Amino acid sequence: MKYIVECKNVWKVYNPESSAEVKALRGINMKIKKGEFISIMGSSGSGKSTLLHCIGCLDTPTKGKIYIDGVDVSKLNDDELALVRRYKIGFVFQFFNLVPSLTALENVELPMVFAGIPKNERRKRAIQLLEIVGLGKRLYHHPNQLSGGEQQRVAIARALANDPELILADEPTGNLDSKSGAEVMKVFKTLNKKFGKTIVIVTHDPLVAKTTKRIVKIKDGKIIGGE
Amino acid sequence: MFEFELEALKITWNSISQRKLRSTLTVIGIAIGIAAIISLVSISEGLKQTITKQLQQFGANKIVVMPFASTSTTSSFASSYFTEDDVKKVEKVSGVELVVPFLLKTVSVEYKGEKELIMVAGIEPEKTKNLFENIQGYELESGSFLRKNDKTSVILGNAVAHDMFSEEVEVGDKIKIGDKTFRVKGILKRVGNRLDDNTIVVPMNPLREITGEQKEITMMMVEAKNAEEVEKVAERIRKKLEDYWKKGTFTVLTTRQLAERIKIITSAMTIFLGGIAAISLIVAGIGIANTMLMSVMEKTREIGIMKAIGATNKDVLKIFLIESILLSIIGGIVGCGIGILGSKSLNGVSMVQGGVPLRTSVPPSLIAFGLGFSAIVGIIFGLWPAYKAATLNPVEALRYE
Ligand SMILES: Nc1ncnc2c1ncn2[C@@H]1O[C@H](COP(=O)(O)OP(=O)(O)O)[C@@H](O)[C@H]1O
Ligand SMILES: [Mg+2]
Repeated sequence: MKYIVECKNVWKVYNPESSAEVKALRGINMKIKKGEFISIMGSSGSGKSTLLHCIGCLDTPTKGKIYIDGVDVSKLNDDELALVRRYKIGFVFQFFNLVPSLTALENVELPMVFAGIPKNERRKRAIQLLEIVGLGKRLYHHPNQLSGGEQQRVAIARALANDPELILADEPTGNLDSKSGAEVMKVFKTLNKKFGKTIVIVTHDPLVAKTTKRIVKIKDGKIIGGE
Repeated sequence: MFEFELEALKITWNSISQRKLRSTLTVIGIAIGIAAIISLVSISEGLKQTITKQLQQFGANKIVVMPFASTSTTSSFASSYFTEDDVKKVEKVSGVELVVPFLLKTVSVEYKGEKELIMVAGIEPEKTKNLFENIQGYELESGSFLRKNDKTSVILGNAVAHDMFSEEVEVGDKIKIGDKTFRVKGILKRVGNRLDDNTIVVPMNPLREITGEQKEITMMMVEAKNAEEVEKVAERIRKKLEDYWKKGTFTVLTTRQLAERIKIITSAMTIFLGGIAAISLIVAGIGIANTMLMSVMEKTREIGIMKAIGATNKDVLKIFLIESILLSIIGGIVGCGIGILGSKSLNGVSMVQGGVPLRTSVPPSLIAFGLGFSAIVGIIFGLWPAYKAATLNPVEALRYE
């Protein structure tokens, strides 16, 4: 299977047929090859997050089909979607979204807890991942003891926990200063180059987009270039 | 196996211990309910056993015949009585070894100038020895039993001799009952029940003279020739008396039947008290539901995170159920501890002054029930909040501030 993501005429309509109706996505067609490093760029409200949520199986499209690694995920039920998220996809969010009561190490272990991986193995892998993102010395810190850039790198390590092929990042640098942002982007680059991960980054920042190999532009829920 | 559940337990323990005040209050609610169940049930079970044991001392071959319906109130106790004729009829029933008629009266008793109202049992004097020696635990502490034709001697219950008057009464002392003076011939050992320890046994005829009651018999105690036939003998007595008495106006009960009735009454009490305690647990359960709903709300974003990284609805449901069960089980453990202490503190205490001391115990089955019940409360009242958490939409949960 060549494509890890395929979107075919994907529509997302919020509050359909009411006065609050929003057509967030209007017939998206897009293909992402395995091993690509790509950004989806557009202004605020253009539908980037909505698209990423649909690709990431957090949300289901109103119309159209999405294939993840050849599987039509628009037909899956809640549990099946959870399993796709667990094993095939890693998420990175703008606001890091770490569990505040857990240490960096425990946060990275969490996806493996859901996967039922034994304690020792879990711990070993989490330490490895934190070393990869340069946080080998911050294992037992809680999120509130870490800087924004460090938190985001913990989040990246967590996204890698169950070794997914696809990493989806929604404005990963949006909440960071430029230096930390650049560091985070470097981590993504390494993951793509050294580990062959497919990386999709959503951003409104052209400088961030430029560090990726392909830029898909989105406006008013439609792709306007780069597909 | 249970890798996930163990980890979930750790995570929820974290979250419970971070919300100390709220968790403590929730736990206290459950603990009170469980403690109430444990102590109330153990006390009423103890009471049941105490009474049953006392009846066993009484002997299996005894039949009590009373001149009122077993369901009637005490008011008819005074208004209805047997006569010597009835005694003679019962004596003739086959299988009857001995009939001891009693005349029970409350009479003014004077000792060294002090007056007390005391329950006096009139018995034919030659039957006292026979009666008391046949019932376990009724022995003389000093002196001897009454003899045939004894008219001026009495036997004192233990409390009458030692506690009733400011000066102790001893064998050989003179005591005035009504307008007659008697000599104390014997003192019973402490039996442990209030009625017997506070009674004076007086020969029947002098008591009739004191009270002016010429034929009244308050009740009869019948001894069957053989313990195996006691139910049949009781039935024969019933039949016999029905020729003269209307059905339902008198009662014939064997020791076993009496024990069974008391068991029914005390079991009903156990259920009633346990039920009240169970209601307090429902209130505590609502407390759990409330705590859990707050917890779900506060952790909405975490739920979104967990779902984004691959938790199924069932995983989330489990995590929150484990949290509510953990709260309720901790409450259950604390409650069992308090309940055991409560039950222990009442062990050996008498329900009435001078009564038989209560023997309470908390059997392992009661503790298992307490813990099991607390867990069930946790499941029932945690289910709805956990279900709410499990079915949250992940995108909306992640957006929650
Ligand atoms: N849950 C929702 N209900 C209604 N409208 C929504 C919802 N989520 C997003 N939208 C709307 O859909 C459009 C696209 O939103 P979004 O995908 O978040 O844009 P972006 O991430 O590019 O800023 C916006 O107009 C937004 O207001
Ligand atoms: Mg967005």
